[in-house]
Amino acid sequence: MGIRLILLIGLLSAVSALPAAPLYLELVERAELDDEALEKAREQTREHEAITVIDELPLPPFHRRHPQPRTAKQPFCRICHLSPPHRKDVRARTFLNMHSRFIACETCHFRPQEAGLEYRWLAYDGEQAGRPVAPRAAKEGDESLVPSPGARIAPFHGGEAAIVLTDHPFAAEVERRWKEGGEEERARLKARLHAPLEESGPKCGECHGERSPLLDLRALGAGPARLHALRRNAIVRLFERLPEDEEKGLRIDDWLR
Amino acid sequence: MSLLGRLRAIPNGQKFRYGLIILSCLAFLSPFLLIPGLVGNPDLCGKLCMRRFYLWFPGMSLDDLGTQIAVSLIGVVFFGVILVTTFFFGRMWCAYLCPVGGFPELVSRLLPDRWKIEYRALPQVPIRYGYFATYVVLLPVLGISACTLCNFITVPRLFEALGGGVMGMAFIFSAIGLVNLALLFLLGFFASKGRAYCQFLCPIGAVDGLVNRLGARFRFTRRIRVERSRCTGCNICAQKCMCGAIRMVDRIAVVDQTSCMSCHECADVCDWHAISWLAAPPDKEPKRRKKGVEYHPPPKWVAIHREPQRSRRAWPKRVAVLLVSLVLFFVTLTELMAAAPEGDPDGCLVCHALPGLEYVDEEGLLRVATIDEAHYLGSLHGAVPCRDCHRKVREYPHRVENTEVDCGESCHVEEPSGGEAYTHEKVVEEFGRSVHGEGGSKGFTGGNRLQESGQANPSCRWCHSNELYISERDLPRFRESFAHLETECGNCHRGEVWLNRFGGHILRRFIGSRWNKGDHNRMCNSCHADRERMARVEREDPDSGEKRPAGPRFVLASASYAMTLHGRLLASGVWEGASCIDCHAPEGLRHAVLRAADPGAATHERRLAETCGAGGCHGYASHPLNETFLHTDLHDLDLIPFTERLAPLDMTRLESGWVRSLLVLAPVVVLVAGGSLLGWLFGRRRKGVVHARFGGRMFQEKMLGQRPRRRRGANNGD
Repeated sequence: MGIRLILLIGLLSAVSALPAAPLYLELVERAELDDEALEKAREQTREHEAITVIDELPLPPFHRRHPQPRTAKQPFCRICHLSPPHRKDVRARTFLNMHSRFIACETCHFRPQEAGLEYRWLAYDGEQAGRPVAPRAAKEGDESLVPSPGARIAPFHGGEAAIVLTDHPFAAEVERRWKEGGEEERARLKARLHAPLEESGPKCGECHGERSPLLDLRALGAGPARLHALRRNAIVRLFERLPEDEEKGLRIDDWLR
Repeated sequence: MSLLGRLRAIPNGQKFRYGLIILSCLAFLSPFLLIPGLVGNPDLCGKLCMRRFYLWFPGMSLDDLGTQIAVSLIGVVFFGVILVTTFFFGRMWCAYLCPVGGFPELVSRLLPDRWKIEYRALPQVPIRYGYFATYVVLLPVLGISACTLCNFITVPRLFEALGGGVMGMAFIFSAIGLVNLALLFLLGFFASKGRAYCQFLCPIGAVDGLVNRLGARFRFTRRIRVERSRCTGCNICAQKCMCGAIRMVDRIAVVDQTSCMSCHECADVCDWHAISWLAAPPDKEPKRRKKGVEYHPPPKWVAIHREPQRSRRAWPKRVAVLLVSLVLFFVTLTELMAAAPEGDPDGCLVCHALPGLEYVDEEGLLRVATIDEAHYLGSLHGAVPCRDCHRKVREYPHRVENTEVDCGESCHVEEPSGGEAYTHEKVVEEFGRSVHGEGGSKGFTGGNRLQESGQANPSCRWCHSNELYISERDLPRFRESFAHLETECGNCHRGEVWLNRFGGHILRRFIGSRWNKGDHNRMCNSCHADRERMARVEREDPDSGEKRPAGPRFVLASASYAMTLHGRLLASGVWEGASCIDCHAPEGLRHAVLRAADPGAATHERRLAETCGAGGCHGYASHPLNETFLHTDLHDLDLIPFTERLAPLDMTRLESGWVRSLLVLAPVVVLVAGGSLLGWLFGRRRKGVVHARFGGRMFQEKMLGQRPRRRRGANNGD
């Protein structure tokens, strides 16, 4: 089964317009699955419970909402994962989901050690969908850096996007395999897809710290005021001060002082 | 005669008239609705109604009349125009333009003449004005809505139904709609010449007829007039008259000006030019005459005929006819009468202003923590700090129980006149007493929105979310008025800050409350229009105390109200209608909806007069003679189509007076229509004049002055 997948990827790469497959696909193809990973994947597949997102309730929400507009292209991960994706970490889930509006999933979860990735804005909507977008000219003020609606910060490798989006044929293939496959096939597919990925992303400080080693914020269009706001962020400090014990919280008054 | 032959035989003047009627149907009726569309009306009701404003209720004042006129102002003006043109030119609207009368007439002319009912020989004046008096005076007192026996709703709805329109089909298939449709058949399609409804039941026609008769006294008005010396008594005009206004008296045609519609058909068929539509020429004799020349008398065109003195038995006979017609109507009406109703409403924004703070919880509900800052500050609660409602939030992560909101709590906003902390306590208390009270007013969190959606009774959140202080709909008006604040208020109050803050606050009250009547109905309908939901509601029986599922009247309340005049007025944006809240919770803080059986309820029988009379609506409601008017059923199941059944065999719907009338009318319609069809298919073709089977003989005797032969099967059209 793995062989067939490899052949398919090779075929697709030959057929596709790209000179080489995105880095993510290459790594998926080359992944070596050890027993531990397979066992874990089998367990997850067995115990998976699908959640149906409730669309609209007859009882309206009290505070006005602005739902996230649907972009023309979606992250590859959306094939399986919910939007917004984070649910389990009670402390961080809302903040992480906030980031998912303007940072690609892969930016945090796809960080292969050997690869030299650079981070740029990628358009998910409009005419330029699927292509990199130039950052906005750095401004004096503290406004948002998002250059066009729906754009996200995504990893690039060798000038090309290191990731695939849902319009890539590989995405359709994965969907088909999942629908048609049995439990074993599904587990293997799952393990392979997640092999180059890591479950928990970087710590807040890697972008919000003094040196922000992960993202080059200036290259992404941040002016001095924005840099300051991002690096000396109050919420980051909140998280630094949260107690180790998950059961306990931090008094807001203490935090804000 | 072949169809083409028949079409060719139509006089040109009549072809023109039929053409105008067809154009009028296109202009006034579905699907084009050109003229109602000009005023934003979907039909000929509401603002365009010409039939309601002269209804008389005991105890009515001029103000009430003013209200009735204001509701249908366009209809009143149009009615005035019709009366003025009638005075000078005869009933041109009725004969040439009215789509509601013209359409049945045209259809009737297509159908064979034999299987029709001849109404034209009936005494028109007593019947027409007897019914008119009943319509204007008796029906309101009896609480029968004028809208339920109206051709101006039936014909438009029929057109809508034929075009697939939902409102049209809903009307036609209700008990009331079917009765009206049966009347359309019997008094329109299968009436001889198709104008029986116009002649007997139309109140507009009744008033118009009086104006026609009044104007006929003058020589300068154009009317159908007879030149008696030329009339040969051939009685073709009397046979052709669609109104039955022409009678042969001593073999001379006599026109009844209260019934004549000036359709010109008589003038078109008279070969002797003895009857025509004209103003009477001046009655001038020459002052001198030339010798030796015979002067023929000038033609005298007579509009009003002074009939020879009848025998003294005529008067008692007329009175008897009038009384009998009234009694008959009354007997019919008691069957249709509305029955009495059964006995039976801290900084948080550091994080919370960030966009995208959301997650999907265990049950699949999207939980959003983002607050739109600009919207919140411009909202009703804009001056309320977050923690005044979310009182116990102290830590991060927030514990669910600490985020609960109690709407009855007081907050730190100070009410300026008393300096006290503001609270919704009184509303909560009133709401707690109402039928919706079990819905709850506290314990609201983001998470329990799902289980609250499923509960039977509404909580505060069902109807109230945090909207803008000035609704978006009123914002342009507000801005425009606010721009003038300097001249209006700023002349005296010079402080800019004060001006902006308080000026805006006071101005908002002048612009009007956010909830208009249409909003009331939308809010109530958000639950009450959901049939499945209402069918699950259990109500306590007031006598036995046991809980039973709600009956069809409750479950279909939204649908039946929507078919009433109040519902339709509000749906088309005429704010003179009564909304749900106007009847069910008009007092206090407007949350105390109670069951009608409860003595404190606004809809309790003893309080109906007060409720209906409030707000300058039906000021005459408390007059003792209007008792039955007060019992007009605004949730009448007869207004709902039969297809809206809640159970397969819901026999309770069949007990109403409307259905019983239908049981009488339907066989007659079937008989006449069936006979017509069979006669057309299988009957022999008759030559010459064909008189209607039902009443044709009386017509020949009374109107044409003929003695029809008694033999059956003769070729005189028997």
